[in-house]
Amino acid sequence: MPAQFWPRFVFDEEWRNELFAIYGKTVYTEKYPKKTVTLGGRVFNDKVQDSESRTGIVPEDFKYAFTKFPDCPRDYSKHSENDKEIKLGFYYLDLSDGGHLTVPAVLWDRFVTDKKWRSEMLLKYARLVELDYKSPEEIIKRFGEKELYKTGIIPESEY
Amino acid sequence: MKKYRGCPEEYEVLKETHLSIELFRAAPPK
Repeated sequence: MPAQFWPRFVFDEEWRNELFAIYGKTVYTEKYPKKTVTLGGRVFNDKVQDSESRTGIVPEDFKYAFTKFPDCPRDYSKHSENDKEIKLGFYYLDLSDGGHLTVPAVLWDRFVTDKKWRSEMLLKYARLVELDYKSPEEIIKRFGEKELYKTGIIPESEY
Repeated sequence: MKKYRGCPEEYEVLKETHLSIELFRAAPPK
């Protein structure tokens, strides 16, 4: 990992986990050997998907490394950010394709620290990805009419 | 003396230079 990322690596646990998930390369040692599990006569390797083929190296131009908006909650991924807003993507647990949520910069601190409020904002404003390509009739049938009118943007007035 | 302080407890510093840090994180026990 490039040295300039060290301070954030130390204080931002979510970002640390993200780096590890994207670039962490699995190796096996004497202390931590590769294991196999046999189930019904079939042998399964104990490995993390794709982790052996990752580079194990965080590139110097890693996106958002010096963000002003750290500690992105684990269930969200950052799509873009500027001085005014942070655009996030996430997955629901109901097998939908997920959704979009834009957080104004002034609300970011509350968004990352107040879990209850964050959930309220998600239910109130998050916009389903399906709205980008499915008909209103399909959306209403599957998710209900109110999903049609969600903007995907938390207004600053929620401060 | 270590250059990089505050290493998270789940990581171990394997090698460090003024440009980069090489880290190891053990798999969680199963």
